[in-house]
Amino acid sequence: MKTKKLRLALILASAALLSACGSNGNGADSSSSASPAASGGSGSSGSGGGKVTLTISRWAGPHADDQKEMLKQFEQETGITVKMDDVDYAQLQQKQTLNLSNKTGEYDLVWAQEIWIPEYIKNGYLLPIDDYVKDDSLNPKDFDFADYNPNLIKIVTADGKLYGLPTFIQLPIMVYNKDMLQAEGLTPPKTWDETLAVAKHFHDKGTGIALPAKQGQAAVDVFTSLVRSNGGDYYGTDGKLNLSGQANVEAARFWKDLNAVAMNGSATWHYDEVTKAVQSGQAPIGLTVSGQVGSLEDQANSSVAGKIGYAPLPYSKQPFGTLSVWNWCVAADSKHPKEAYELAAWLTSKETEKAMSLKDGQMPGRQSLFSDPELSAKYPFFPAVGEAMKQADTQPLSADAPKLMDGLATALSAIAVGNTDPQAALAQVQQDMASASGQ
Amino acid sequence: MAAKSKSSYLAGFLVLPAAAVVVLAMIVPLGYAVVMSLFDFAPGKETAGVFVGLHYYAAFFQDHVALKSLLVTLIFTAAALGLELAIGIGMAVVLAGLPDRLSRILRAVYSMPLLVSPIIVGLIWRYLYDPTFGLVYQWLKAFGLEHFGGLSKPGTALFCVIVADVWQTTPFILLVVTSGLTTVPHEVYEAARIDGAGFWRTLFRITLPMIGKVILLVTLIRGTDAFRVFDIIYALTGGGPANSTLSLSIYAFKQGFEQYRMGYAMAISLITMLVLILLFAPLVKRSSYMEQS
Repeated sequence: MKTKKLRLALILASAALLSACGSNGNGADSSSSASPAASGGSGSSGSGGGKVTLTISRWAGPHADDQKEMLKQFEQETGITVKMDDVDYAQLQQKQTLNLSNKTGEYDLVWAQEIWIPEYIKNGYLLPIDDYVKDDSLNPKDFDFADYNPNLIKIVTADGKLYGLPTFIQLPIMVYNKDMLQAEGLTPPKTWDETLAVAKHFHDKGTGIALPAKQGQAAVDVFTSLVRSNGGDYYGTDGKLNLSGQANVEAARFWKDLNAVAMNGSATWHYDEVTKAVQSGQAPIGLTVSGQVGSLEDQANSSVAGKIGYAPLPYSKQPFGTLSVWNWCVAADSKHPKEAYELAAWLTSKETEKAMSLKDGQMPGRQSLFSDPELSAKYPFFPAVGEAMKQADTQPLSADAPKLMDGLATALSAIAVGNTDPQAALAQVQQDMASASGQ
Repeated sequence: MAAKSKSSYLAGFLVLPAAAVVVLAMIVPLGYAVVMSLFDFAPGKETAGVFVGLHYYAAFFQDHVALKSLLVTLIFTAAALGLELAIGIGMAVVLAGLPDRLSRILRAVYSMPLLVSPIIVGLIWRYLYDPTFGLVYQWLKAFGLEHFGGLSKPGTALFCVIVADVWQTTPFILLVVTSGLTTVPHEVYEAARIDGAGFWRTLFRITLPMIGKVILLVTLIRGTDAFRVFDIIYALTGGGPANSTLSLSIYAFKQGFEQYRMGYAMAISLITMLVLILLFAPLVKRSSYMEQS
């Protein structure tokens, strides 16, 4: 009898709690959704009625939905029908690889991240598009190939051949609260020393600089920028790993010094928390990623909208950005390569990119748009991102890069929490990498 | 004779579906994992694997990060399990002594965390622990303890993870032990009371021995679960700072899906399983012995 009652009570409690926790879970989920995953509507936007139908592959989500709207215009202009196969980000590479490696001809145009490109090219999945680029009949008016950021073009070029057109970039930048700096009589910092001085000033008053110093890729992306801004590199001129180079060690020391004047909790923060700290008006200055700063200017949710200044990451000799970029690439097994290229050129044209940026703040691969007055008025961070892109590169894309990134993530975390000497930490990663390659 | 063999054929035939499920769902994947741990391959590229034999198993014992993650996992399991058992059993006993209605309400309240998925628990506690945004530091400040390292320091991060895990899974122990307590006959307690046994004496001489089987069972379930911990750590710290909360499962995940070394990830998972067997096999043996007795 007693157990029966107990069971009944438990069932009732569980039912009540399930509903409560359900909403709880959703809340936490939505706050952490930084990945371009959320599922969107499927399929083709059918109009036009031309003979050619192109299928394009990309991740699903709000950005994909905006793009679908834009594609209707392309269909009207050209009479070509475009079917978008938008899948969850987590499955995208696998699906593309399966189709491209089996030469199914399913995809005409694929949206590929910079880290996939070397392998796609090596395996012959992509079609060189140099001849199409020169063919004006396939390009939109005012195409201006030279306007693509050359650093981005380098990423989709191999053996002198071009394999894609860049769009949708992301890189870490510095943000600062202009009002808070002004109130303390400080000027916006640019270099390492200036940034340290500003951070120290605020740290003495109880805050400091907000850093994405959680063990993970964000810290490594920031650090790579610091290293390159100091003229350093992970690899020596002979192509061998050389982490203990003077410039690298100096960057690691700066990372340590910066963490010493960071906001409480920075050691557990990713970009999301940094952005939140700045958005809530708690952090006077922080390092975050370009894809998130739009939320700082969101009048409805940000207490600092209009008060934020933007700059490239702090530098030693010259600013250097760590790039992440998506590219439209024509599939080697496409049955309509010309039309596929035409679509890629249209999607990455100044006009289309500007319209997409105005829709959702995406950052294009077109240099001229970063000084576009209309875009800069709507998104005050555009000029800073453009500035940071002048000197920029991706993380190393070599075969051992994932292991290097992981080793650096651990080392930077240890440096950030003051657990190790910067030089020793880098030497340890170097040693681990050497023993791994010897294994 | 003939009838007997016929019936045993029938029995065999009837067992076939169950046997097939066991083979397909358990033995085949396990066998596949064992085989693939002998190959060097990236996710999705099984066919391009290169045979490396037992290389990854040897590599595990030379990999200082792997050995550290084994140590972290052992500490986590021992501490989390110990605390959860002590608090869970303690609460179950205390609640059993309260008036029925009150104990039922409290039990339901305490069971809440069990219904939240571990990844969400991790996210909730990540914000609770945040020195800038979180509640924990506001409380600590009241006691002048705001310099507590929390998730930011390697020395305290694992402790914080354990606290979050204890918060979530103690109710499981509480519920199971409570149901165990209902099987202890009242007469025994009455006899003990008449004989003048106090609370502690009754607890250690009567209650705990009589629900020994139940405790053994929860230790097995919770212990093996704790040893494979992944989601709560992944959400709280991602294994940091400086690998101080890196469990074996997280390390296997990182090797497989961030460094594309699936063979090594499989080997780490199998080593995890072997250590689990070594740790908990004596308990399983003991529980089946108790079953017989």
